[in-house]
Amino acid sequence: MRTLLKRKFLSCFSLAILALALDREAVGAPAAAPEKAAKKPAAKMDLDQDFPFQNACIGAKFPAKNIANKGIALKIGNGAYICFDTDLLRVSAGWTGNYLNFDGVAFSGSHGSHPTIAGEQKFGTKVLPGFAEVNGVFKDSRPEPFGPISASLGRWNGLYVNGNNVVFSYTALGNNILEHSSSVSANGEIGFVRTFKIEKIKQAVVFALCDVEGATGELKAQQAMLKTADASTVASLINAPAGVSLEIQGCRIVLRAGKGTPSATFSVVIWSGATANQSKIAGLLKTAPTMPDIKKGGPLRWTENVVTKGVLNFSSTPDGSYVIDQLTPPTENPWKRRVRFGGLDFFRDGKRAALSTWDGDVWIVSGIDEGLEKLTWKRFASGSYETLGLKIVDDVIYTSGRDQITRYHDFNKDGEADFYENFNNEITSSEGFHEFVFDLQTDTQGNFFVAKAGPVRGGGRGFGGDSYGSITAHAGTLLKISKDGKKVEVFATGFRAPNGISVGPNNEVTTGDNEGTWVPACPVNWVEKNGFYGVEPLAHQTPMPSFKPPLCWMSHNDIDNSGGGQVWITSKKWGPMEGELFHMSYGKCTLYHVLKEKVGTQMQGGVVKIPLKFTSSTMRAKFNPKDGQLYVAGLQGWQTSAAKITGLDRVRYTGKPVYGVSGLKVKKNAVELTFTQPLDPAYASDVQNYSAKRWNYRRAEQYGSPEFSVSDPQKQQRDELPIQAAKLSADGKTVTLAIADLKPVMGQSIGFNLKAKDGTEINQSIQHTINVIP
Amino acid sequence: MELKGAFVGLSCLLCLSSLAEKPSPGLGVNYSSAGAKIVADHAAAQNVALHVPAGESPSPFLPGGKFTATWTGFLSADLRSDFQFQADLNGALKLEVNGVPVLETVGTNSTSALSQPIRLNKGTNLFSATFSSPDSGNAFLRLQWQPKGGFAQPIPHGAFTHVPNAEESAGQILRHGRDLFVEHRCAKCHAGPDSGMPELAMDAPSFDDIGSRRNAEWIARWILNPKEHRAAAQMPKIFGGDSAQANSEAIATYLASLKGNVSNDAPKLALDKSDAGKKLFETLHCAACHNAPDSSDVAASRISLKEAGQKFSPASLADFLKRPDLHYAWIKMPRFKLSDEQRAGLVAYLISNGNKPLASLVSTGPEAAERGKTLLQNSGCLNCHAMKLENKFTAKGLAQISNWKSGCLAEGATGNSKAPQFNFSTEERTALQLFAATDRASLARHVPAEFAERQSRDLNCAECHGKIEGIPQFDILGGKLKPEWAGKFIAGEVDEKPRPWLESQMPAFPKRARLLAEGLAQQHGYPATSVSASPHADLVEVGRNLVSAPPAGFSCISCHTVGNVGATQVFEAPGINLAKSGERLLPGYFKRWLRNPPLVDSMTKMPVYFDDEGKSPLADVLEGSAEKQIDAIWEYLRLGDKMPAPKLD
Repeated sequence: MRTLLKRKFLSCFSLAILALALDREAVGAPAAAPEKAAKKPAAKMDLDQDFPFQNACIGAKFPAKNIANKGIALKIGNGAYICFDTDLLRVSAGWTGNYLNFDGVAFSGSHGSHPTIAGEQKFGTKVLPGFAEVNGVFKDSRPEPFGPISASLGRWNGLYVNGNNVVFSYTALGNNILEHSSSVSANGEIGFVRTFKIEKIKQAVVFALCDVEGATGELKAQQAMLKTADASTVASLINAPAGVSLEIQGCRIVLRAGKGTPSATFSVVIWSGATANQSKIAGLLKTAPTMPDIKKGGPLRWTENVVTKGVLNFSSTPDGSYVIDQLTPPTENPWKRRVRFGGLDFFRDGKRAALSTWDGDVWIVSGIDEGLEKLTWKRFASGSYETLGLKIVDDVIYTSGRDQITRYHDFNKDGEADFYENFNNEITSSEGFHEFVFDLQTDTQGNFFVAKAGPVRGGGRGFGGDSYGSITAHAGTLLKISKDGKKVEVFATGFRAPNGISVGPNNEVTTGDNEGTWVPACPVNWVEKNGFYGVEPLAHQTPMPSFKPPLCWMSHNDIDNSGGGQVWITSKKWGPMEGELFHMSYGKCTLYHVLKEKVGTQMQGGVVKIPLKFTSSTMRAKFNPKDGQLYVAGLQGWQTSAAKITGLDRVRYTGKPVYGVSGLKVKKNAVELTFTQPLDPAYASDVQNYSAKRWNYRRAEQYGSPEFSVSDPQKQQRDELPIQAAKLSADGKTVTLAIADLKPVMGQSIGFNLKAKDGTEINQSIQHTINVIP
Repeated sequence: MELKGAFVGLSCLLCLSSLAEKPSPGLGVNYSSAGAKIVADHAAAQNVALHVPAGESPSPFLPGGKFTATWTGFLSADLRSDFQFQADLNGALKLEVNGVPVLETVGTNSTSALSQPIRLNKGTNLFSATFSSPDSGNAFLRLQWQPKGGFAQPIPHGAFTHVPNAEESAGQILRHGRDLFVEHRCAKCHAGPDSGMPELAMDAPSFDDIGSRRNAEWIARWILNPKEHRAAAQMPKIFGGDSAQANSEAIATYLASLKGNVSNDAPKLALDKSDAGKKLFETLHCAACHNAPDSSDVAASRISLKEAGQKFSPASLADFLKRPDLHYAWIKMPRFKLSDEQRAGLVAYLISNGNKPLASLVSTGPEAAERGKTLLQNSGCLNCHAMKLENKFTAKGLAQISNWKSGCLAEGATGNSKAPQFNFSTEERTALQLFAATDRASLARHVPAEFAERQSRDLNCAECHGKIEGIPQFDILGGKLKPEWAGKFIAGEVDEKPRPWLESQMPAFPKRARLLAEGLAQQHGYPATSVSASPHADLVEVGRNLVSAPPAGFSCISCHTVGNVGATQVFEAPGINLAKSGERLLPGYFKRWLRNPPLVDSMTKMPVYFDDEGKSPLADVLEGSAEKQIDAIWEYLRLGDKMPAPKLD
């Protein structure tokens, strides 16, 4: 036994040396960021001080490379904190002092970092599953070091919130575990208390409590300690039932719950400090373990609501057919929460909607009516990991975040979530700042869809590496999650930053994307199952599959530099648009009507702008089931022309006639444009009133693509495209533009200054892609 | 018409020059002097803008004083649409489109009202604008248009075309002759005016210590026939006949003996750095002016680098790259800020891919050197090349020359002629002769706008500007940058890179920098010294808020560094430091840029914040007016180093 321990000690020690060496290497590597940007703004330390936890990728100081890709940084009182890793179901670290360094894109805006623990770390565990089978061998047997451990080993069920008490629920080798972390303070020392509530143990399970590199262990009956030169880490049991014991595995303290251990509630108190202070531990072991009540929900946390007044007719289309009404967001709120809407859906009554924010909150707005006189905003949930999608199914809220799809339960109906249920957490996530999980939609069978971005590097070019994350299994994919949340499948691959998707009335799936590496310009993708949409490092298939061209590309400067979501017009109360598809540009804060057609099996088309001004960007859109109007939410986060940090706008149809192009068809040597109103033949038949240009992009590794001449492909320019004739149909609504040299092309714009028969001016331009000519 | 003779003489040449129907870019412009004796000149202009200081001339071929300028050609629109026109001017303007008067205005350092809307046809519209200079003050004009639903902005240069007429071609040929005259340093031997065109002061490589800087073998071969080594060489072949080789070697031997201190900080040549050098060669876009030594590209318009290793020792090449203009102030090769390692890489790349070393000279030694010295003194070398040595060469003064078809301008190589052989093409010779036939008063006239046109062409500015991603279009710079800042920037005196993300460097042309900057401004109708409007301190705080974080501001600070405050959400790299905008940019440019950035640069990453009607999404600040908000931002940014820091939240 002695020799065995010694050998383990040695191997443990040498690993520590190795880790140290690796760290040194990292320090010696050249700085990735070229800029010498002067002063960085202070991170927003005050952001999350009112809530007990924050989900994020959270880095700890030890053991080596101790990053919880999906971490819950939990406040446990007495200025102490722990981080729980929901992928590995381990407590990755415990610390005291300051809470978090709120680095990272959603907090400080910085591209290429994530939060780290800010205080003095007291203990930590290795990046391994938080428990092991009876043999006590901790092994990460995931196919890659990302995503949750296998369901047979353990499953994260979610967390309960009751006041400042947070209880984790998970299964460990088939055993249901409730775990409550708290702290105890005495004689100037702080103990980290992990309270377990177990049912009768069906299969023995060994929990990792802490790893201290280079330490030697010492075991007593109810206490285990790891000692280094002058410091100790000690774990002590309180009220442990028979069958529960502490063990030392080399540099690790573990907790064993043997098979048949009866149901019980007990605690482990972890203390770390100078060996000289070890005698003070006794004072930390006097609190009898209790498990907070989790089934009834807690007291009301956010007693105040934010009331705002909407603004009607903020903006209008020139023909007056559509106007924008603003639903003033709760950006001024008692908790100084930043409000950046990333998900939106309505409850059945149509008077209330739920909105998730990039900042991790869910807000419920009520009082949605014609006048928008009194909008009441209730904070419903908080602390989530960049929730950029929200869906309501049967009046239950689901959000998509980087860690999981969460289903929220409000047990006591006080308007605040009591249980943040893990509906599905299989989506892989590494430490990259850019691994957004975008949007949340359902199909007619109730399956969920989300899109996941690739680990874009801080420079915007390329994927992963350094601290920019890894190309994990789900990087750059569109994912389908079964209605019951149990199964995730990769639906399509090759996306870069698909900030928004749609699932149509006939289960048509679309995404946008953001120009960048392998994305020459922003597309609207018509997504087919198993399709590959262009980003080669994120293809997840060998050999490289053939690329599915998008429905259309959109030029960087006139249409879209950063795509948002899409929305199908399912309302009969929204003018002559039912059955149509709309696209939103996050970057340009604009709503576009997608003019689409199917030629054979190939979709193609283009977009025309709906000239409305939105409060912020346009990213998510939903129809209100009651008023039948379109509501659009967006945020200001990265590059966008959005002026306000967030917005929720109603695009209301006024009943006035709509003037503009509504259909596009490519013919042999002609393009057909169909309008909503009969046109003045004198204008419509005169080619002087039309102009056309075209260009191609190069789909390659560089960031986006210039526009290249079609006739002289080396030259960067748009080619003028002569229009020979313009012919108006008998009903006056369709113009056929004769273009002798029409050919497949990635970008083609057609501008026109026309008049409707009644004299209304129609000055528009469309941009489209010709994949095939019939 | 003073130039009538020239036109007659040109008739034949004009047949040769392409007068095809295909329109040329820009407009034709006719300058005409006022007063009793009317003098006219024709040229092409990229836009309808000029700035002529009081008493000066808009054209080198016109005497200073009152003038008119008439631009003619076509104005194109994408599709049939309505436009209004407006002018900033001091003088009078008459504008006609498709034969219809559109704008007739007299302004005294003011902005005209917008014209009535006029419908432009898709494609070309006949265009004519006549400007008459004012009775007093600087003459200037900047014409703008306002598309329907847009705002007043400079007319894109690409919208103008014209078919050059015979007069314009004649004007171009005269300019060509005048350029050749100064480029070939004619006045250095044939005494003429020594002030006026800045190029009259152009030097040639100094002979001081040249033996330390160039290889003798190469000098000899260069003297023997410069054009054989560089098609565009301006140095003539001095020696003909059987003794040419010996004479060249003698001079080379003498020059090689002029050794000075060799710099000790020359980086060591490490051939393994060649790859890094090649990469740098690409990053710096050296190929804009040079054929790479390892490419098969032999474009005559670019200077070959195959001979770099023959011309220089590795150490002297490294020295040269440090400061190419040290011994030749007007050299076209710019300065780059290069580290020792970078220079070593370039040297390795150039030398390891170049031609093999040249054979040694045949006749060397003190005797050859002495002969070389005498030849140097008697062959005119010292008229261009500086050296403390008695120059014994004489040539006729300009005024004394009557025959412009012999001597330097003789046709064909005359083996035994004493005159240097420039090997002018027929076109060049004709242009020089036609220019010589004028009164040549134009040599004494400096028209900054034309200086800028000549030099930017000669320096190949447009090989990078507008061609390489991230490097701004060249043709807008004069209306964009304050000439004071541009002058410093072109001179290499601005330490901070305005675009920190660009790998490339702006090359420095110290000798030309300020004149070039002033000329560019005048091309766009701006004075050589920018005019600052009085500040509006009351707007500073509003502007500061608008630059700051939301909800008060547009969060410019997300992407832009502002003074000492780093960009908060840097993606690719921080944007241009906004605290530098005030000293860099002309306010008019800044304001139209901010109003709609892609209109200026279609590939910009800068978003559009304001709608077509001029409304801001921040509706509660300054009545939501784009114009007022942009003014406020400008008032804040123009404080430069003295601005209060933006607010981060």
